[in-house]
Amino acid sequence: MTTSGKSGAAPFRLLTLAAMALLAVAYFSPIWWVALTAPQYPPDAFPDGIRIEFHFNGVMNGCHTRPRTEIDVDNDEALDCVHEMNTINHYIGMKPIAEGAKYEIMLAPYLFVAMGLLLVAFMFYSGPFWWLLALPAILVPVGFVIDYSGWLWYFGHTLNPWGAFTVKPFMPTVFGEGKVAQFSTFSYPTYGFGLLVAASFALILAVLLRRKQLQGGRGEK
Amino acid sequence: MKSRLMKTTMLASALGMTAAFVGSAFADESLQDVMKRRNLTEENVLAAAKTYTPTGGRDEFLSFASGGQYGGVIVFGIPSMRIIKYIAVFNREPWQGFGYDDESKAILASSKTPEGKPITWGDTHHPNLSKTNGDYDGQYLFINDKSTPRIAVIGLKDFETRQIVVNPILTTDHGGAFVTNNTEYVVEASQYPGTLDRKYQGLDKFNDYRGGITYWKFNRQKGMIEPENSFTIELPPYSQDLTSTGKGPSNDWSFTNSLCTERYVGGIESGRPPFEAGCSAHDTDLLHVINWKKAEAVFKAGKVEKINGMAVIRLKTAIDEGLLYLVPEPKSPHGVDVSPDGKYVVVSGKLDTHDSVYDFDKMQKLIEAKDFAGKDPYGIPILDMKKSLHVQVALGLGPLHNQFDSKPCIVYTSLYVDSQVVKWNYCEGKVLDKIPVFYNIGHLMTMEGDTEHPKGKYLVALNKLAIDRFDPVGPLHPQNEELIDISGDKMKLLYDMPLPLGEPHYAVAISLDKLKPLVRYKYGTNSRTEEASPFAVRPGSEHIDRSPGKVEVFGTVIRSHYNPEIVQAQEGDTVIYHWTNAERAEDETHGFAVAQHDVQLSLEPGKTASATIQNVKAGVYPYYCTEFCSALHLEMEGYLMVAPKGGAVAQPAAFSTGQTYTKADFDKQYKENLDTQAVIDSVVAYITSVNYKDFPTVVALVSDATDQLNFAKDARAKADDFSKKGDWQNAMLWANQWWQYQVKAADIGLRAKTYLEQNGAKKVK
Repeated sequence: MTTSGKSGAAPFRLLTLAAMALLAVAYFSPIWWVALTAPQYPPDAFPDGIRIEFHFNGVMNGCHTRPRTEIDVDNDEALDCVHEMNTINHYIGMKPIAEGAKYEIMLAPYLFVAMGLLLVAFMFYSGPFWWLLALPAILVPVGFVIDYSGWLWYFGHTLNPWGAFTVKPFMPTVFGEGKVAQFSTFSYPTYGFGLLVAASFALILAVLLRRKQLQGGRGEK
Repeated sequence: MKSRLMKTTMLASALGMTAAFVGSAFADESLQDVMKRRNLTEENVLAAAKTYTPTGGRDEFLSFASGGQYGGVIVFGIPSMRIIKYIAVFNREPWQGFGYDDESKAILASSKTPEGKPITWGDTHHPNLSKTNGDYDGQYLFINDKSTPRIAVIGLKDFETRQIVVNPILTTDHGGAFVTNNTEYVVEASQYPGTLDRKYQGLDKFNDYRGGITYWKFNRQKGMIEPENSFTIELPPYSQDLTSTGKGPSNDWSFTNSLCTERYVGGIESGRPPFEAGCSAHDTDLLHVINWKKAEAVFKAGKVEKINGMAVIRLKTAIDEGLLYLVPEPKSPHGVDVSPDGKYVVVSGKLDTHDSVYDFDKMQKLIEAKDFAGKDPYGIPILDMKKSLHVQVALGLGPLHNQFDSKPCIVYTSLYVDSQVVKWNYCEGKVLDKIPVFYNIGHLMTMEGDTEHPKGKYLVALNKLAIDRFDPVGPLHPQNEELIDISGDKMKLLYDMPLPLGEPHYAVAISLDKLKPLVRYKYGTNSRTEEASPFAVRPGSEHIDRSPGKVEVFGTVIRSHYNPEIVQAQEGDTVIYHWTNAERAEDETHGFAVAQHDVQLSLEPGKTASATIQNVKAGVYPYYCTEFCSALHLEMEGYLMVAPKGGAVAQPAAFSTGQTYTKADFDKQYKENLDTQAVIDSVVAYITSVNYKDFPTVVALVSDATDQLNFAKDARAKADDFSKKGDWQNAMLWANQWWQYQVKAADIGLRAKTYLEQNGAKKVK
């Protein structure tokens, strides 16, 4: 409990601080993206397809204003692709995107603050199960994928029978490319997920350093 | 049911056979074969290659042609000559909802005659584009109506009419709309003289009649004409005609020609020679040379009289202030066009074989030296024609209009009587080339040909007669717009475009890359004003407001429903719909029509539009989407329910749907289903009899079909359950659902079968 200030303490704390910074940036970054392409969404007019991005603080529009081509159009507003995705999804009776992960999104700010507090404690606490303090933050990427997959399964298996087109319940693609009717689907992690993974690695390293330090400290005693 | 399926199958195979036949007959044709079969020369093929725009391709220029009697504007691409849009201006146009939605009705309401008469057509003549430093900037388009003297402003963000101003003192206008170099003013010249105060005065006092030229002040920021900052110069009762605004050194001046300076009044019914004879007696008419910059200063100094609300610079003031001069021009002229460098004014004689090129510098010197040849009967100084001229060139019969090339000194003139376009050099006064056109050309247009920097390349001949050029369609023939290649020394005719909507008098063409149109409106825009509509609502906050005698609906539309869908009203109510299209996807326009009512809205993504129905009559009126917006377009519907006075209004919970079914209905459906099943079984038997597992496409189809058949099985079980209980209503509904799944399965099965047959599936044992 009284290891602060000693040589060897700095690296693990620096790593922890770095991880906290990464997580803070990741909170506001897109973690995963999904895009649909289809013949009626030509690439010239829809350069991103119908793209949405999953953040911890909500599902955001992933479509940008279209690039200048041989014909210039007024371009001050990008297509709202969350809206467009909902419009497409309603044909097969899929729930609106806002239904997804609504509890997680509501809780996310508190969970992140709590995680931060745990990490602060991790920097200074050396009592029994000290490593548990860093565990939640290490598990964020894994947790995200599990939660994300869970919701995708839920969306694919709670199709409203009143949907105009009957499709059999399906599991939307979590990672990679898929095909639903004439739509090609793309689902990939983006830089926010990279930040989460980097934070995880930083924290794992911090835990290892801390363990070495604590063992060393105890050995000295 | 069997027969319905059979029909579908037969139709499908018939279509397939046709496609196969066409494919095999023409797939291997070479260019030479096609030329031979269609009797095309190499020149034809070259012309085709110069105009053909590959699928999905774009044009180089976009052209705006007046629609003549149509009252609007026609937009087409160059060189493809494909019509891309019609823009309603003075007319009602249901596709765009123009004159049908309350927002555009407000624009048409502002375009009534000064006496308040509504006019829902126009005789549009001369479109012109807004300019910055003498070149088109792609922001606004202006056009006049000759019949009721009006000028309209069209915004090029959405190609919609946003304003119409009515001239309160002129009888007619022909010489509009022309634009000064920085769009300070839109110029409108009267044609047939009249009384400026619009009061009756006998033709015996024709010499007291007046014409005028109105300079409408344009506010570019607002995109609107400001009548309060506009003025008119009073002119003698000559028939003023076309105008050209100055450029470069002549920037502050405008030039308007005139005909019938004889001030002749016909009266064929009382034995007087007709107008046409008396109006072409003199060898010359008079070109009006006006310093509009000076006129503006006179107007701002308040030296005007208000007539019907219009500030008028009186003829005497115009003469005293030295802002108005005349110069003789060849008999009954038509076109007057200032050269790109602003140094020359080219005038076509119409009844004279010459074009006259006036030297602006010479005229300026005469004006400065007050060296006048005389005065007209109204006291306007007249410059000496010979001293003003640079050169006169004999071009041919009936020269009408002039347009300039990108090459220096090159101008093209239309010859109406000769049916020709002549290319000539106005600096040297030399004819270079002539080409026949079909037939009787009026205006002609080169690319950005009336700006300081014409683009050359193409010329369009706007011919008045088509005669035998197109497939015969009865006595009323389309107009013929001909595309001519002017990039080389010799002009080459490339293409004839029929225009069957009205007579395009004039057209202007602008490089496509100067236009920046919208893809969608900002959510909740009144497109007619391009401002936020107070009636827009977001999805989730739709509502119906009721007050005595009035039902006001604030709704949204999106693929594929209206919200609200059922609107209850009482006979005699005023029902107002405000719809906002909640779509953001490009081109997802919805329509709105109320059956048996004069209501048709076009709701482009983001647009809010309103329709008011006064004094509704009792009855049941479906409303529906008039744009095929999605696979569920036909289901995009609602009901306006108008109860008789004093009658009860049904509550939604009490709606009964469908009809009551009996055992007989159920039995009939059940039998149909069994028949359908037999068809499905035969298809399944075929598929399983071949090596379908070798075809991944078919395997996927079979999997889909199997799903549908499983759903069908569920539905059948439910139908059986209910029939056992004697609940024929539900039994019938489920039997029908079962059939729905069967049809889907059959459709998939047939597609699989066709695929197998076409891809050489083999029998398996």
